[in-house]
Amino acid sequence: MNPTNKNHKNNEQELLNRYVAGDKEAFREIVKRYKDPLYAFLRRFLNQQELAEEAFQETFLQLYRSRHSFEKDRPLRPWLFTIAANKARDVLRKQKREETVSISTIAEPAESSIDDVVNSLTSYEITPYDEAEKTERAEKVRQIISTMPENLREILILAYFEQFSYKQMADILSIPIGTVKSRLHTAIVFFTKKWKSITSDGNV
Amino acid sequence: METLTKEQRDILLDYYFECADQRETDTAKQLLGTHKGAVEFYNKLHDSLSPLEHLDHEIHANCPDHLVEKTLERLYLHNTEAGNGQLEKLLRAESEKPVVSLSNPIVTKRPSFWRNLAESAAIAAGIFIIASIFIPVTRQMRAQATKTACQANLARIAQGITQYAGEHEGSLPAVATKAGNPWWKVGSTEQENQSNTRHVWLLVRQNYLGPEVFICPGSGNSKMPVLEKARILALADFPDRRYISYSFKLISEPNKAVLPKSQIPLMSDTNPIFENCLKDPYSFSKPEFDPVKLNAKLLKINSSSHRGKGQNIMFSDGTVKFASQRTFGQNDDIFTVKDLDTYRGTESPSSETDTFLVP
Repeated sequence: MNPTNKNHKNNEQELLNRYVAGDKEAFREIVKRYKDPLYAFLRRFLNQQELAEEAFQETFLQLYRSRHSFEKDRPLRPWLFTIAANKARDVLRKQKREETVSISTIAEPAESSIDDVVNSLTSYEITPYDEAEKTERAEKVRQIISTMPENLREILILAYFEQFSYKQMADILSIPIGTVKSRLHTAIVFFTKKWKSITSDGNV
Repeated sequence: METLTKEQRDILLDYYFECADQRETDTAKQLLGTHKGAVEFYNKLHDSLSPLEHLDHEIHANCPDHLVEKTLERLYLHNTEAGNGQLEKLLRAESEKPVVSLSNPIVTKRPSFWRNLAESAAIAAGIFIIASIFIPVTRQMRAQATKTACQANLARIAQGITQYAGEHEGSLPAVATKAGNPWWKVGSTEQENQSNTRHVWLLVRQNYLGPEVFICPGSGNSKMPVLEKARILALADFPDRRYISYSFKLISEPNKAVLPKSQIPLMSDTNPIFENCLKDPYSFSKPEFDPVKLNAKLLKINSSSHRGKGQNIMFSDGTVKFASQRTFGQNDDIFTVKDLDTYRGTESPSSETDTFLVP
């Protein structure tokens, strides 16, 4: 461990001790450190700004409220994302109740292997996109993400954007490591198949 | 594609998602260096998932300031009114509030206007002070990390250049070129269109450096597909602009391209003057460069890789500095040719002492 990492760790430990003791300054520091990654995760997962903002506030309120049950020796980031994933699911459930729309929350098992799906792509050359094409593609990606079962969506975003380890994802989602891996595979297959179908239909 | 075992495929997946341990990382790197099928699988995996990058298009992935304020306001309000010990009680009470519905309306007592106003003003002042202290600090921390990683890239490139010069009688990496060649055509495969990046591509092609060090983490192109060895050897230049986010001293006379003994700027973050004309990674297919006429703004702006605050500059003695100004030595602007205000993409430096870093 280099001195910078050691200092950072000591600093984080001290911050956590103060947070558990109810120090508001320490809590503000935590908000400061984690606001961007947390917001980005919620924004991608929930796909709507209002929902992301609601879950963001609830996450930090819950973090403060549950500080006594936090184990100081554990890193804070996975704990924070555990709360955030739960709050995001709550927000989605609430929205579903209001809209009485049923969205699948259970992932279908992957019918194809990653090899099959990945190899079905004809080329990995990247073509240039103008602004309008980028917007159109962004819309298509959001469309796929919003139709993905929640458990696939959250694991894909955690793995792709947040780079958590398998162990951390297992803790965050309260599932065994083996399930994390198989679910991530299913999520990749789901996304790739949908993307392939949507782009070949719509010629994006 | 050469066949991969399930275990090898899983290792590559773990490596892609940065979930691999040291042993798996070493195996993955070895596979990517030796196994054609592994490179193909990795690149196709990247291609399958890279559309996810579009998820952040036209939305702010960073937390908006007002949301932090709102969140702290809620905490601050609870703490101000109730004190620390009362917070749990208030939060519990809030969660136990009945749901408002038409059949169960809630009548609340409206607080006094002046009390409301005084509270709001106190909260706003508190939040303003807090926000003004810590919001910029987070941004600074992130920017500092990017800046440091970029400096490490340039330091490694400097080492590569020094090593190259040591093995080539003191020469800078330089391909056969001549004054008037289109220095902006990064990725062109045509014989006569020699972009200024072809010179430093030699460092990749001749195995002095990996291609990844030529991408500044602040450029937004940090996750590019792996370039397999065979492809690197087949190319005469970086594949396109996304693979190089640095500008290099313009070389128009290769026989004079010698590693200078004095300290002069050799490379920097992308020249900001031509960034807009070159945003399209496939700009080499354009027949001509959109002419640029200098104005007061273009003479002042810094590279966008570090939020316009400045640029990392690598000097010929291997030092790397972050500078918010663009002029060095005798008031020489590193991003322009002396006394020239219109650019067509084929300029040369006005003299041997005039540094011009492009594209």
